[in-house]
Amino acid sequence: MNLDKILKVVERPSRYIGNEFNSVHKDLNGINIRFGFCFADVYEIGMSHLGMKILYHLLNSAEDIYCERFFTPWVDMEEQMRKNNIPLFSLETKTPARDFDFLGFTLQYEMSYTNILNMLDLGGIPLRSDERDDSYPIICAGGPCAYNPEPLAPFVDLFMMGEGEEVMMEVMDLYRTMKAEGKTKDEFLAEVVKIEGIYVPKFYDVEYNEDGTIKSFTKNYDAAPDTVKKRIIKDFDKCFAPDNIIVPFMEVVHDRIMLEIFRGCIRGCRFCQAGMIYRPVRERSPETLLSLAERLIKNTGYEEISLSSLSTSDYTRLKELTDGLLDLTEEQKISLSLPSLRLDNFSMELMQKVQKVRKSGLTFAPEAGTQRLRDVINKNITEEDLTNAAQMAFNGGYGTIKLYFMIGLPTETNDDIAGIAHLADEVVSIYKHTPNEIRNKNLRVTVSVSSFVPKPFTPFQWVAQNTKDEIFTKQMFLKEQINNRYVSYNWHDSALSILEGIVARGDRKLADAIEAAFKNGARFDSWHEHFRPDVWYKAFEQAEINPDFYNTRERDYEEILPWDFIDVGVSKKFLISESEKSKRGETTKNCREGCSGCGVMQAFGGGLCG
Amino acid sequence: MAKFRLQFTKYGDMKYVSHLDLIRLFTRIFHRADLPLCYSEGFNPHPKMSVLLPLSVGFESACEYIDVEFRDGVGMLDCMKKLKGQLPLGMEIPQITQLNETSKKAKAIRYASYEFRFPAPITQEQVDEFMALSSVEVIKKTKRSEGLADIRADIMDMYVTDDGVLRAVISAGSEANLKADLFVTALEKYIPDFCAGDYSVLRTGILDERGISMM
Repeated sequence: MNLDKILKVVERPSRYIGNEFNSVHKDLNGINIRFGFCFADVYEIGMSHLGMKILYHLLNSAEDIYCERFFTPWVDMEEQMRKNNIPLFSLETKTPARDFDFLGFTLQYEMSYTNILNMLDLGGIPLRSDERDDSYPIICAGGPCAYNPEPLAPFVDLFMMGEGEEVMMEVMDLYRTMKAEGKTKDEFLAEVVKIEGIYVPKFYDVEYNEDGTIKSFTKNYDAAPDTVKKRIIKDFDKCFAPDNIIVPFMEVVHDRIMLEIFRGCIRGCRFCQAGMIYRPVRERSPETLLSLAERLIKNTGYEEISLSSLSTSDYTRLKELTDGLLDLTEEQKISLSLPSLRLDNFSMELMQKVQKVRKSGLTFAPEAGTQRLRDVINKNITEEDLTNAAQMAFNGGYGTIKLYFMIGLPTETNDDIAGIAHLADEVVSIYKHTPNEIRNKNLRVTVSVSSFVPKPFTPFQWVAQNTKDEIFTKQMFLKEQINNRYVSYNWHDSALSILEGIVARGDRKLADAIEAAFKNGARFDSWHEHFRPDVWYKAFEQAEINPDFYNTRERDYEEILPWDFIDVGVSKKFLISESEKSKRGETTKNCREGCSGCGVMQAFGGGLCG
Repeated sequence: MAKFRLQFTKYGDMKYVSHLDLIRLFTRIFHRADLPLCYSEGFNPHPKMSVLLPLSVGFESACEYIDVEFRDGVGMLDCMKKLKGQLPLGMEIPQITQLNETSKKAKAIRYASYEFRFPAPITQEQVDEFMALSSVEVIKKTKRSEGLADIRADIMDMYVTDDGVLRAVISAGSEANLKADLFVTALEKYIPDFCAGDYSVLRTGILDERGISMM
């Protein structure tokens, strides 16, 4: 495929060339399975994603599997490709998508779904499973959004639930055998569904009540499981972790080594999907991590290393790990970044060591403005925690503080919103009481407010999302409340959060609307400059779908939810109990203070929650 | 501390790697090769290296230069050996030289030589007619302004090879710099019936005032 003609006219052509250091090149003669790993966004976003790096190298560790990468071509490239009849091609060998055995999409955010359809379309692949014969690749998907697979059910042949490291190779082994035997796609799907964690949508039928809710969700094939249980890695310390990740030519969003220190989260914030679906907490030992870090530094030449987890401070052996990493990085002039640290004496000391000279800003996420609402969402930090942290930051010479909040949380009142402004004022007043000699000369407090989106498998999966008008009214109310020259206030257009809310809790019927939106021209919806709500609302009309049904409707506990057939480990009973506790404003202890009985222990056997 | 000049190539898809990306790429190549870089002082230290003459994205090159400083104990052979296996496809390092006070600086650059391949070849007659012109005016854009400029003096020499490749030597460097694509624009403007079409560019040399390479 000669791409020179079009690469010379598009922006950032290095998005499309491949050949980066550590990218994998294989002799196609020895290959039995060609797997196209697809990330439905541009190169620089996709290449920042740790999961892709893991699965790319895991798949390529098998001699007869060749995993190559696909990203969504940016709009200028799409235009050129369509004009010149160039199909979607892989980065490694520039092979058309159609020629692969599998195309596997990682579902990281709902607003990438139209890009998935666009990628299939650019590959000359019919969008719907039932329109694809055996000559087309098997379309599979996984990742966090796969926990509600239904809006994509008609497009995807099979979903993998849970951690790809665990299930991927079993699927490949089965495929290898069946391909050698000359079996058909249907025969393969009938067999692969017996592997735990695999969901094949066509083996299930959905019936609806008159009000649009689900009447029944039943399998039409005996061997398909009644509930699809997610897969997890039991021994995370011993699990596969690549030490030779690809080093992109262009600057990608997370252009550094990411060291995944643990999976899962002990906190149990009720709005947070990641905190529920990635349970149980499993750590890697400092020994494993230091050895991995050393190899990664050597094999990539990266100048920065970052810890990756949902909450760095909850890593039990953080001091040991950071001491070891500091030795490693200081010697080699590599910078170390420590995201999502809780501010306490230890972390302040640590940050002084790491940053040495530059005092960049600090970020806190109280999420809600009053203690009452923080209890409702189980964000277990108090106003005192925040004021102590702010005092520590100002004593340490920091002058820029960012505060993250959400509006539209369940039970929220104007008092809670006004509380956001009060907290910001409080931070300013702490600064003013900090002695001149030690505090930073400049103060800047930024209040950044996003709109809450209820997600499946959280205690808030039943609640109504605020309407556009409600959100707007709240945003404006907060604006009036903030009257402090040191405080700046950021908020976002709610249209995107609302659409995300619709798709996140969507069912199979919604697939028609997603397809219509794509056909109406929706692309890169998560990119502000390309998001066009009108295109989506037209699509809802075309598909005869009332979007309010999905986001502004409160569900009751008895309703069959589209994702109920999936077992993420955390039980529905636990989610209901958390939902009830939230209504009473009761908090739940974190996993280390006391087991809350979320169900993950029973699901995967004891002794796992680290 | 030892300063080196590396000659490197940008063939194939390497032509799409921009100047900024190239600096980052080299930093990582040197890290992997275990060649200890020297860093600038200050709040935000960066490795001491510079590309002698940046190349536009989309052009290939057989002859680019980068100067780099390494900490003690790095020798030329050492450098060559360690860089082996660390370079991306399309990038080679055919030559390395250690710099001293008498070495040529970047400001000594006067010319660059190029090869142009056009879909419909250009003829020697067309080239001769062009070279006979006393003035060649094109619209030259700078950061601040845009205006008509006479670039005739920036075109030193050119001829067509038996294979129909156009070889040209044009001004380069800090005193006068003619970009290869602007040069092609001029050819299109002044040579009747010549259309550059979807052409490719290969830089073949970077030269001082005597036409000698920068090595």
